[in-house]
Amino acid sequence: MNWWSNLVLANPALLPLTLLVAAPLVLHLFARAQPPVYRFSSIAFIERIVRRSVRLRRPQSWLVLLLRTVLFAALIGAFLQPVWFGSGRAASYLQRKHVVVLVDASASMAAMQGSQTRFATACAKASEVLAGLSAADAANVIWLRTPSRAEFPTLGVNIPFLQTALRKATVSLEAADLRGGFDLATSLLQDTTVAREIYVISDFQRSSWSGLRPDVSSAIRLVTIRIGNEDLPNQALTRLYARPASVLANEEFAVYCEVENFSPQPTLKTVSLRAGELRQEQEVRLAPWQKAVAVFRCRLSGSGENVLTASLSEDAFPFDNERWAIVDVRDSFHVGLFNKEPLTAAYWRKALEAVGWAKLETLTSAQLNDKLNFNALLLSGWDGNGGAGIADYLHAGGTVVWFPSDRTRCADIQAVAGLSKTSAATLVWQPSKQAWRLKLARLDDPVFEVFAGGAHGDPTRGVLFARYSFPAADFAGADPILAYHDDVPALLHIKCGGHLFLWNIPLQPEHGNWASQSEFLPFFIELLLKHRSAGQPAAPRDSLPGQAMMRRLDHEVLSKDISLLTGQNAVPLQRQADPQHAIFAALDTTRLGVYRWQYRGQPLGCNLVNFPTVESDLRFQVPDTLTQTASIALEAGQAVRDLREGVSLWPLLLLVAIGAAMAEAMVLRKAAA
Amino acid sequence: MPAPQFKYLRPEDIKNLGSFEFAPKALVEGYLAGRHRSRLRGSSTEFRDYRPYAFGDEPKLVDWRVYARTDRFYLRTYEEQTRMDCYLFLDSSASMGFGEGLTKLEYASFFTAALCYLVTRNTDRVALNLFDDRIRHFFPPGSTTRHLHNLLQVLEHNQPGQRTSLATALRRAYPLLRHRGALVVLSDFFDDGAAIFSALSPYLHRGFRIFLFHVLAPEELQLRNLGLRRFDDMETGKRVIAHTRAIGAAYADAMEQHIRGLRELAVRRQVAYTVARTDRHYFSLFDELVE
Repeated sequence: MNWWSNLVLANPALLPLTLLVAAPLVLHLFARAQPPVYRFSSIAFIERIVRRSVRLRRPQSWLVLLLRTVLFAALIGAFLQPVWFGSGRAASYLQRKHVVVLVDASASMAAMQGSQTRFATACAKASEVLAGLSAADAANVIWLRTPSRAEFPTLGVNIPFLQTALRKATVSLEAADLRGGFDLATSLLQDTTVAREIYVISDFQRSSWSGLRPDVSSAIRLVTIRIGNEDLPNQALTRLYARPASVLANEEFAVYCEVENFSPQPTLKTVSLRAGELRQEQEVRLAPWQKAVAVFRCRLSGSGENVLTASLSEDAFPFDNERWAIVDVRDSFHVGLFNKEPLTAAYWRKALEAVGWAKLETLTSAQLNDKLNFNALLLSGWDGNGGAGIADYLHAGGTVVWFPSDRTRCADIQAVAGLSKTSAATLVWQPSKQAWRLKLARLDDPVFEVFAGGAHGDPTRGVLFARYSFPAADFAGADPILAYHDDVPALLHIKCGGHLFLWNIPLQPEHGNWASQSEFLPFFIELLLKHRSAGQPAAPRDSLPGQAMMRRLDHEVLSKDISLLTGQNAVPLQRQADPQHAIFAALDTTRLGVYRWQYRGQPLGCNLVNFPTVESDLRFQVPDTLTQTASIALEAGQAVRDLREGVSLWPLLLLVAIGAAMAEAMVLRKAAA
Repeated sequence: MPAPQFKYLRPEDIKNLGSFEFAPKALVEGYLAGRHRSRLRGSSTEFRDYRPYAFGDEPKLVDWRVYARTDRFYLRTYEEQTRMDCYLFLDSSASMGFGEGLTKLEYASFFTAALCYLVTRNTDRVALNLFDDRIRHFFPPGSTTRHLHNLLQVLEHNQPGQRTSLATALRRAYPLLRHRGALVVLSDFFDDGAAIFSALSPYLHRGFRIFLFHVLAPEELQLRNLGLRRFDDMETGKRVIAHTRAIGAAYADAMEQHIRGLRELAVRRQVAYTVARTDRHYFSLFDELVE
């Protein structure tokens, strides 16, 4: 686009006046040709002076001529009243048009830029855009939130209403549904023949806008207006989680707080964690544009859903300085036991009963096909047939310790583990008169952590006189934790969504003394604890601001009995139509924090709304894809009305004319001197 | 018969000139022993000094009393009283026609006429030379009223002529001056100063008392601010376009430098030099003649 296409003359009728630019030159030439005659007695001296000064005066004359030409040109230009549209031209006031204004109402717009938030500036700009519309124009405002929403269902002519909505609007802490907003805008502008414009007013936060390619027709003029002219430094809590996610009461667990530095400066921040009554603090040193993790060790005594609250020391953008997570605390460790081979099962039972916190449930063959919900499943003497529930349990993250029966087919084990059934071998029981000894096959397995200091003895102590012939090649991807000295796996770990442990260690006294060693109990308990299942996976409890929050109850309840509280505030609920379940939905979830479901005042569970991490990076960058699509890109600080009214250049030209006149006077005075 | 009216010597001027007398302290030579001292030793009564007798001297001039005392021949010499001859050289070139209201030539003519009157009133003789680049009129010295009237009539009909060359005029007029006396030159001196004084050298050598009157209009000393003008030279016809504001200061400097140069040359040669501005009355110029 040529630059002069952005220049418009308000008084084009005076264009012939431009010929007057040549007036100084013409006057100069005529004035030099016919000056008045002055008969003088002798011009000898004058000739000498003129000859001497002509070298100096000639450039001065040209300079004066140039300045006079500039003076005339500037004055004529001022009369023509040129208007400059430096950023491009929007549709004129007289042209009927349909306008959609996309206002970014995402969390990053809550950042303070100067004395007000970016969002307040954006609303003011949007109002300015609407103020430039005539009575014949139609407009709408779309808020870029989760999801994007329009003020009017279609384009409307009630511009004052939109302006009032802009005045009353408050920023939310939601992420922006950009694609949805653009799709909504283009759908509103379909099927119209008048001029169409989409204004996008945003901070164009890099992490949200990067790679966006809006599908906007070329017939629609797209105008981007950037808010905020500098990257704001920010530090944010971007992730909070506990490991394990489900713990026993008074069991120690780790809480991980990820802190990210969105600034080019290194900084030192304090991370606080509140878990139950316990409050801990840690300082983290953050390198520029890097993240760090603060790890806290906690114990919780109360069973049920416990909320962990992490917070970061204050900075300029406080909304992402707090984060919540839920950790499930259980009173007991729930173990299912199938005891077809009773002796091994008795040893396992005995060990679990010794710790006191394990809750054991004996399972029948039929129950193995049902849905299983245990922290661990112990299978003694199972042959691998008819255990559909076990496979599902494993793939859902369950933990199974399986001592197979004699003649169990390897293909059945592969089937349970979800491996391809390629093996034709079977497990064959092999008694031996020669003692076999165990060795550690995988030292870094967490099972052996308690044995690292030597306080709990040697888990391989003892001798064994029987085992299964184990075709290790059929389980190539599995990890042996314990193995016999001839490398036959004694305890094989197969990861298949959950943890499947193939137990190849006889516990019967006639086959060895390993189970009677004092190390057996801690080894077995550590195996279950360190590789335990979190139980039945709970429904997702984390959601983003603005996302609908659902709760399904399996029994019929009255709507008035169900409530949802965040802090002390009740959140309005909607009951979804479902014949079998009672489903409640909360739509107003823009507030950050913990949402507690209650049934007749009794807690049902919690949901969390955490700050969207994508909004924490406050750097701006208008994506190239959008720049290429946009007809006009308005930088921060540029007035919106310039798009429609332009910048009148006549005062500038008048100043140039005055300047040229003053310069001419100076040149002449200097020449005279 | 009423006295004739002359343009440059009006009755009121004659009346005003009554208190003036042209009596320069110059040694003149003349044919009539009179009121001016002459360096010629002649037959007057005022003793000058003695000198030894030389062959050819008249014996009657020998002082016999000195011979009686010293036995040598000495002659008594006396100062000779003569009439004064005043030679007026009036530049009548085209440039003298410059001037607003009163031209330089008219101004100079007024002064010349008054000077002629004063000289003849003292029964001295006055000669007039009107010149431009040549001698246009030369009137030999005379002291009669008729001679005065002739000069006044010539002045009245005198018009600015051609280009000026004072040096040439001085060189050409020198043979015409048979007696030494006072030489009064009225000109605008638009000529090379060195050439002018070179031409005056014979006069100085012969003992002329020389008075130079540099006649200038005030506009020539300081250019009026007329803006852009085409300057036409009144003598050469040359043209140059200039802005008076642009060249005014430089022109004033150049003119001042020219006058200073002439004055320095005049002082060096013991010649009286006076700038005669046409905006001042010419009577003030008589003061320069008597000092």
